Amino acid sequence: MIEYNYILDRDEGDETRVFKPDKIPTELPDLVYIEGPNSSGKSTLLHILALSLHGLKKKKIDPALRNKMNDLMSSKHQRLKFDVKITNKDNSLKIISKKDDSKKPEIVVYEICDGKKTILTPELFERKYNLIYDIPDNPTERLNQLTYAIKDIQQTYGNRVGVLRSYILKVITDIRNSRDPERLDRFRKQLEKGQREYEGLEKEIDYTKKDLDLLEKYTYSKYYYQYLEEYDNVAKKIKSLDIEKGRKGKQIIKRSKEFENLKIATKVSIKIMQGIFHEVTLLLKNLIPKKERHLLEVWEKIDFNEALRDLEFNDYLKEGILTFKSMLLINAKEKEKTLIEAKMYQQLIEFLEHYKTSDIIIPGVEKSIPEFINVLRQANKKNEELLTFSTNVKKTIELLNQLNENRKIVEKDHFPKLRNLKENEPEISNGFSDYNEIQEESSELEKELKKIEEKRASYRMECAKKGINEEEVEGILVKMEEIKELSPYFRYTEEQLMMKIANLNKTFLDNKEEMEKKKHYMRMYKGDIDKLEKKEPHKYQDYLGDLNKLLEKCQYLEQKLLMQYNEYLSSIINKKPQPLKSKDKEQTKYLEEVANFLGKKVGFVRHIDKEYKVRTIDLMEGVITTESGKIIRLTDMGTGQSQSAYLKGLLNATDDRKIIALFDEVAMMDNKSLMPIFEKFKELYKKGQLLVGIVVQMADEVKVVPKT
Amino acid sequence: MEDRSINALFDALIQDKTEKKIMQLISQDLDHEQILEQLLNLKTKRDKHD
Repeated sequence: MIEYNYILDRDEGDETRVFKPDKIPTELPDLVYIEGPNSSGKSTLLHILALSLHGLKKKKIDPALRNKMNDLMSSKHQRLKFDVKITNKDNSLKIISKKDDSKKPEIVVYEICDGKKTILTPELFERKYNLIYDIPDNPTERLNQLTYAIKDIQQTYGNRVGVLRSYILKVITDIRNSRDPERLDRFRKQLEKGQREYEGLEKEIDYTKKDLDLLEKYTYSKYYYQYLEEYDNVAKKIKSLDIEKGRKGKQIIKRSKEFENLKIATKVSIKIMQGIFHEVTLLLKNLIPKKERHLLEVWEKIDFNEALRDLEFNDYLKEGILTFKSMLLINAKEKEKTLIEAKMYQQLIEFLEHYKTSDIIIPGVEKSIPEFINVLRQANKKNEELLTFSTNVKKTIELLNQLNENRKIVEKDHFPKLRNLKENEPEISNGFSDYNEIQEESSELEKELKKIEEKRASYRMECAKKGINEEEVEGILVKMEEIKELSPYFRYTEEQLMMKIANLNKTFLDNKEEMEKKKHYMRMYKGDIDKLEKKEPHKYQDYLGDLNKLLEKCQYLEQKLLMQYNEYLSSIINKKPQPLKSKDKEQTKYLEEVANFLGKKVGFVRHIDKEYKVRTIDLMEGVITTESGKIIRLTDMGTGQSQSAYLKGLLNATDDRKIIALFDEVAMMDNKSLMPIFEKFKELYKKGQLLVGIVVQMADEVKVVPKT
Repeated sequence: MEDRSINALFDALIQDKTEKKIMQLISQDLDHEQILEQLLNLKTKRDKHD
């Protein structure tokens, strides 16, 4: 039973008219068909019923109807108050709605269910009741509107999944910030690793410091002593040249041009040989074993200036070259095998250096890459000497070969010619080493002496820094040559030793810096561990993996509902078929399922004179397929039949809410088209799912037909 | 409150078991804690544990 009453005051300028229900009874059955002429109050009745049931808060109501309801409620020229009471068939439920004050917008709605009164807010009303208020104009087009329900739900579910995703993310963050045993374990392992590496670096720094100190003492003493000796030798030479100079006095000797030119060419060649000889002697000093050192003493006595004067080389030049070469070749052969090992270590270290910062642990040895590099370096220390030795041997042999080649040229070509010219030019009886030549040689030696003195002074200073007195140098050097740790360096050249000192210094400083870094990281890990240990474990701790998977699923689902499905649905609403090329299976499936959904929603349609059970409605193609396989085009359906299909679609909502259905202006529908609506009304009413069903139609006279 | 026929539509569209379960749970009147418990199968696991 529907009981209602209203008073509507309308200001018409010249008068205020009052409208009350006078043509349509104020008590109506639950299911009713009302006919009436214009201004009989039938539409006003539906507007007021919808208004009384929070109709203005419902989004899905047709905008034309909403405007009319708004006009009744909010326009300045009208004032409305009403009472509405709906009672169900067994009297167990009443919905009462009141708007007592025509000047205020408040509407109070409540239900009395089994004697219990509950205020119905718009939200609660929406949860419990389904108000359908529609005017089925342009019905074919409005079948589209049935898809709006899908759009709304997609949006709602998409948003809910989004909120759930945020919640899961928060739980994951909380777990990470709580006492996460995995994280704690990781930090502890990092701390242990850092500690181990720190201790390793500490030891390495200690070793480097000792090595460096020893090597510096050795190098500075060795070269201070060497330059001291060289200084004495050069000084002696200068002295003897001075004596020679005095003995000869200034002589003016006339020579042939040929002699002069050949002499200059020979002098140049011998200068080059002297340079090579000096370089090779320094190398030989480090390469020749102690027991063979006496050979070097003879070698060092070779005087190239003397050779220029006498036009022949010291016999030992040729012999020495051959002896030293064969000695070096034998030595190199013996060390060939170890050399391969040394090269392998060297290459392995260079390769691993690229991955120094990674966290890889090398299986088998269970060491990090920096730790393993360190092990290899220690093992390769002895090989380092070998690599330097090999480089030096190679270089020495090359230099000895060059020296020998030059010797042959001068000995076989220059010297015989010069000797011949000398014999045929009797006026050069005093030899060709005249005063000027001695003077020139002497001044070159003076320059060399200056350089040697500079070097000697610099090494003296370095020795002093290391606490070594000049007097102690020789003794210290002898002792050092017995130290095993220094033996790798005995074969190094001056340049190589200085390089090694620079490298050790760099390693020392780098390791110090690395140690500081490690210290910093260890402090950080310790802090993190302390913080984590103070926290309680999260109750979902063991489910972190599952939660991450769920998070992924939610992200995927959210995207699907809010983006992908919405695009598919828009293509249906806007009737834009998917391009053939990009036809994807998911979209096809979606279109099929929506067609099935619409088919179920409408249920039955009347076409021409028969009723059919609907299987699918394809809005894109505008086609209804029936269970019997009939294909009905929407354009071929009568307007009334389409209206009927649309209204049935609205009624076929399958949730548990009780329906209040108000259909206005069903003008295009004849009795046959209206029949299925009333059938549906009855079916739902019997099941208790429909509370009120009103259909309003235009007619010349007021007629109220109960449909219960 | 939602239309059951729409839920059936999603059920046909979504094949993945977990996604199906998420859809089923969010359509019910449950809070996030309850949804998560069900998704993580906590009750079943706890029962087994007991």
